[in-house]
Amino acid sequence: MTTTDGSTGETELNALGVGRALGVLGLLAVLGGLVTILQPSIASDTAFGYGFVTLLGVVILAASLRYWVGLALTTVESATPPPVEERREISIPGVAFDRTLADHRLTAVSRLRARRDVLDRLRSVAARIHERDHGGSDGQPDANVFGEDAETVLFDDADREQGLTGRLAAVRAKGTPLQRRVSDVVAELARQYDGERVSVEFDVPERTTATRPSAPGLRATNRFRLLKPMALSAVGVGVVFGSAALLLVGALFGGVAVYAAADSPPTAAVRITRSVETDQPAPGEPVRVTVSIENTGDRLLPDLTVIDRVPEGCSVTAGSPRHGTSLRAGATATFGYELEAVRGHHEFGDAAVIIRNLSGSFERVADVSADGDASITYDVTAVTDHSIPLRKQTSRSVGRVVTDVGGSGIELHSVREYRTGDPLNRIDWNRAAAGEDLATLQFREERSATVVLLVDARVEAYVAPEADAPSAVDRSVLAAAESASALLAADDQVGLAALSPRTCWIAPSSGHAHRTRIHEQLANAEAFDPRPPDRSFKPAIRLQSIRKRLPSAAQLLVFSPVCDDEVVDVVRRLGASGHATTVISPNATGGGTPGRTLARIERSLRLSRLREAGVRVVDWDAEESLALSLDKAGRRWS
Amino acid sequence: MADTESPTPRLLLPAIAATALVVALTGTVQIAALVALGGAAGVIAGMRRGSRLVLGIGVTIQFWAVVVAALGALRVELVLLASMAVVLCWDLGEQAITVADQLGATGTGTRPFAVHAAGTLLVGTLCFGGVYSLYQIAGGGQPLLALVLLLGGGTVVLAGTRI
Repeated sequence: MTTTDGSTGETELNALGVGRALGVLGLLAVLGGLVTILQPSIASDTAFGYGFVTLLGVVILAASLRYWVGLALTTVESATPPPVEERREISIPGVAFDRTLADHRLTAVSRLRARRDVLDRLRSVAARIHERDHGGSDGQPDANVFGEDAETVLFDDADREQGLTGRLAAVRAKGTPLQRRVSDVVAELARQYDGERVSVEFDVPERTTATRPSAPGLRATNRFRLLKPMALSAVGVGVVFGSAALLLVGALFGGVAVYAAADSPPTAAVRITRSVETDQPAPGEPVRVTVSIENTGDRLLPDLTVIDRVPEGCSVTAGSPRHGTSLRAGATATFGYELEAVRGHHEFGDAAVIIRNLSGSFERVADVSADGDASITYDVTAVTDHSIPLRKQTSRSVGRVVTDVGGSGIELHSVREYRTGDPLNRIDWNRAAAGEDLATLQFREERSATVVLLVDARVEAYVAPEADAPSAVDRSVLAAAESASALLAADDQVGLAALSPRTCWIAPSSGHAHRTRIHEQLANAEAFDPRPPDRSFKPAIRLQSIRKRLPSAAQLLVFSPVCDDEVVDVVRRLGASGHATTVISPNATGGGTPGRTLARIERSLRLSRLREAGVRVVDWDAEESLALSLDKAGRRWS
Repeated sequence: MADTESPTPRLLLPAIAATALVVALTGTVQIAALVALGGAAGVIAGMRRGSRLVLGIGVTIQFWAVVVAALGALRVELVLLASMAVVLCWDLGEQAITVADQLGATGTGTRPFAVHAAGTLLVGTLCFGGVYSLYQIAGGGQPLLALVLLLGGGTVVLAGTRI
């Protein structure tokens, strides 16, 4: 089938209309006919047999047949506008696993490979749970799950669904045998891990196919192509059967066809102005956008569609960024909608405009840059009143981190022999009054810490528990902003770095100006863009540069969803370089399907591995506030 | 052709009214009315699915219903009105699908739809007026040469149009 989709450019301008030679010839004939009607004497000398007219009718019918065939091979399609409402590139942990199980189009070889991957993953999780429960590291999977050969459990069709009832149950059950078995195995793993039974059902979200928008330019819509065979058929049948009414129907259709062919293409003379209610909203706050369109040309625009290009990563929460109107010359139309994002810097694109002429025979697609506001930057300077629990690695400056070093402070550390020069107010006078030797009280010294906030913003960190939930990077960035405020308020030195192919580094420092600098970077820096980077993170290069820059006494506050093994490795390597590390991990895993449940267990196991390596971990659930999670974790540590 | 978002009820109504008009006008010729009814089903199905292909098939069936009605000696005025309703049905149906495609369920597109419909209705009425006046003036008993020239010329012009 041929389609009329795609860009056609200005050459299409001449595609509609009436062919010059045929048009002139036809018009002359029609005029001759009209003159003959008005002056019948002209025809008196010309003799035509009625057989000739019938022959003409058959020829016309044959011509119409050609156009009917042409019509069957043509599709009419309007310009495809860009999809602007919902564009997110955030993945859900475990969905890839579910998709592998659901893919029916796999070839025999790739099916085997997919099965092997599924099996490997299940095996490794089973082995780690076994290791955790039995303390050993013999790597033998638990007998309950993989007592017999794993491959048989999962992939042999013969071992289950035996008997008539079993088979009937299998027919009624959802999914393929493999999907059901993997679900059973994951449910069993979850039972072993959590100690309670959870429901695991196979369910894969539909993959949305991206539509490609039409390229700017002028195109003919071909929407009146139907009229041609209809008119010719009416005339042909009318002539053959001698029906005057059908001849008139042909003429009527012909008239409309000529109107469509003669209609001129529209111009894109519009000015678009966009205004945003507030260009620095608070995180998650909806923003009202108002768009006005003015017809700056001197002709009516009968059918005008404006689609404002909502920034990627923002979702429309009320109204619509699409608006259809018709505008007289100089007239203005206004429409509005609300959009929302969690945080970040968002830039609007050019508005897409689709203009049709009155008959709809031509369609012009254009990108028009809008005047007025072009971006929104979400404010991250939220006020926070919770304190960030820090490790005892400190600098020499006075601060608020209570250390194990004895000296001046508030909390009693120890009592030692008096040495000459010790201040009088620290002498233990009770002991002296009892007749013992002079002794000096020592208090825990309070020093300031140097903290580098390391935000995981690799592609793997752009994950969310649900398709419309804030991503782990969104939560990490907001938490980092809060932590920076809290730490700087406590006189600590704070630096900022991104675990991302897009570099970001602010050396540790303190003060109000520094806080503003950190917040500005968190709101605007490319490294923390709401859209994931298109390159992968290379630890060999990037991690080296971060390590070189870290001051030796700096402790690390890592924000990461810990949804892959690489980050565990990175954190352990940083810890091994002598930096006390705390991981604040926004939980982006869920449950319900085998893949998601497996991702949740894997993440929990990774956090356990981090804890074993001496890293403090704050597991931060999506429903919980950061303060509550910090408080819970703090109680466990103390 | 991919099915897309279906038009909102407000945009569906004019085309459905036009298709109902075709059925009503061809009503006196029973077989034509039956064919038109089949076409109407296609039109409604096409509109609801947002499919131009199904809509086009429905409209084509309705056109042939009008042809059958004309051969069944339906009055000329009614045949002309019915054929105009067929054109309107396609035009308004296609426009509604386009609006639904480009503006989605939440976008507003009633105003350009109304302007477009008014344009087609005006042109259709003018064509109807012109053709019907010619029919009244010519009356009958015209020379054969006039018929041959009009038919041949009209066909050539139509074949020459690129739409």
